[in-house]
Amino acid sequence: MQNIKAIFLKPYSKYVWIGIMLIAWEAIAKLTPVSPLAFPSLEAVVAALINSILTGDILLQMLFSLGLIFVGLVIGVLLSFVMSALSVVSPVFESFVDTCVSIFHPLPGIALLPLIILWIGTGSKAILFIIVHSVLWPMILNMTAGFKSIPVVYKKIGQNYEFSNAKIIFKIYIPASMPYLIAGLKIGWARAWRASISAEMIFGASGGIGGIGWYIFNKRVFMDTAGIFAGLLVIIVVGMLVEDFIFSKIEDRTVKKWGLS
Amino acid sequence: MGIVMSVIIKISNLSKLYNDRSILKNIDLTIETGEFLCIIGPSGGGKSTLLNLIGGFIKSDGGSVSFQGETVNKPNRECIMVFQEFDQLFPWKTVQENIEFPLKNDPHHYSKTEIAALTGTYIDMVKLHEFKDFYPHQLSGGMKQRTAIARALVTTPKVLLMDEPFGSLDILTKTELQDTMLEIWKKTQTTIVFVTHDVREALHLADQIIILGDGTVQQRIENKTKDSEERVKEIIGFLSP
Repeated sequence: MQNIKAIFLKPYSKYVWIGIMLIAWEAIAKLTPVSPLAFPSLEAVVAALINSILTGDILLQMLFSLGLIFVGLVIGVLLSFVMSALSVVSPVFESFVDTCVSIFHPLPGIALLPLIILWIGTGSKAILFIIVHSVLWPMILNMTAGFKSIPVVYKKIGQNYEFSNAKIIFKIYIPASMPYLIAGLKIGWARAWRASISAEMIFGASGGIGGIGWYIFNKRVFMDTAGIFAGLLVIIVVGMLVEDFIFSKIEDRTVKKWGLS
Repeated sequence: MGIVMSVIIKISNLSKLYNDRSILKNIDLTIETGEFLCIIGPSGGGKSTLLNLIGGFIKSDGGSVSFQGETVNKPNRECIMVFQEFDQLFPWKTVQENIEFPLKNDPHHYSKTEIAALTGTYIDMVKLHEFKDFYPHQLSGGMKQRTAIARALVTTPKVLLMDEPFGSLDILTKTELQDTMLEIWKKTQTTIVFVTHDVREALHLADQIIILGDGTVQQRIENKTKDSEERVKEIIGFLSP
């Protein structure tokens, strides 16, 4: 019993749980009278996935989505950095940014769609706009919270060495608020995914080949449930890979190494 | 010692209020080059406030502080402060990187060789050679304060301001660090202004002691006979109401 318990406490326990979920899935699909149209078996999902990979659809559409998310994340992070840094040096700008966050943070990107269609149209730029909106506000919240959490003594040290405000921000504030920045990036990444998929489902392929959202939506139109699951599976796998191989590595090399987590 | 003493810090008629309460009242004080001056007094007596005013971290409500003849109105790199808090080290930098930090960001643009040599000298001075690659979270409180002292000294500032740097340490570490501090002072002859509430610490370290009470300088003592019990009683007498 102790050995079994130990398995679920290891770093790889996530994969053990996934294995159990897949077995449960297959059992439900095979042993219950549920319709394959509503709940396809794993073989059907894997077959749909392989088929989409062979035709190149799913990979191209995934790359399209990832490209937009990446660009949106970069723009969102840069904008949030500029706004948060200006908030540090100017209390007046801080009050402006606080007001903007109060107004726009609770506003779902999808609610802005009618306006965005009216102003920008339905192409990639519109999707990008929604992604940036989704990333920007949580990122600012995290960055400013990170900057505010820094011990006063760090700022005093920067002042003691007569650093400029820019130097204090780059040399002290950014590394000191790294746990908040990484948390903000994780939230930003998740929000960018959601925004991108929602927008792609609505805009379709008008922004190019359409992204993974359009892929899933298309499969729904043709009642290809296995295809829908294949699309979801790809999103989950990419999410987990980014978590395990990017965010986790960044954390290992920064906050964990520095004893900040 | 053959050193010509000159006034490095001059405090004139200095006052400071907090929430309309007078913390410092018309303080007049001179600190000479190479002096080890301890400021002692009861908690809330304005010791740290006075140090922060000397360092230019806060503004006065009257009077002035001048450093080498120039009025202090902001912090400067010739008067470096060592704080009481253990978290004054940057957690994302090792001991060595923390000590290198001011040199790498100094307008003098030290070369890599100079940085390595200076850092090595001060790491050895505070006896942290074996721990130079450790991060602050891997160090004891005493080691953290040693690192902070080395970082403060590495740019060879003219004045070291120390705000109860050993206040949170156990007695053994505290004694060890006091001796290290005296060795460093003898080697570098840096002017040191050291705030403490520990009378014995002041008597052990300082050659000049200022007793601060009720917002004013109650007494200035020349401390030639260090550590004497009579002196301890005398100072406690000044501190007692």
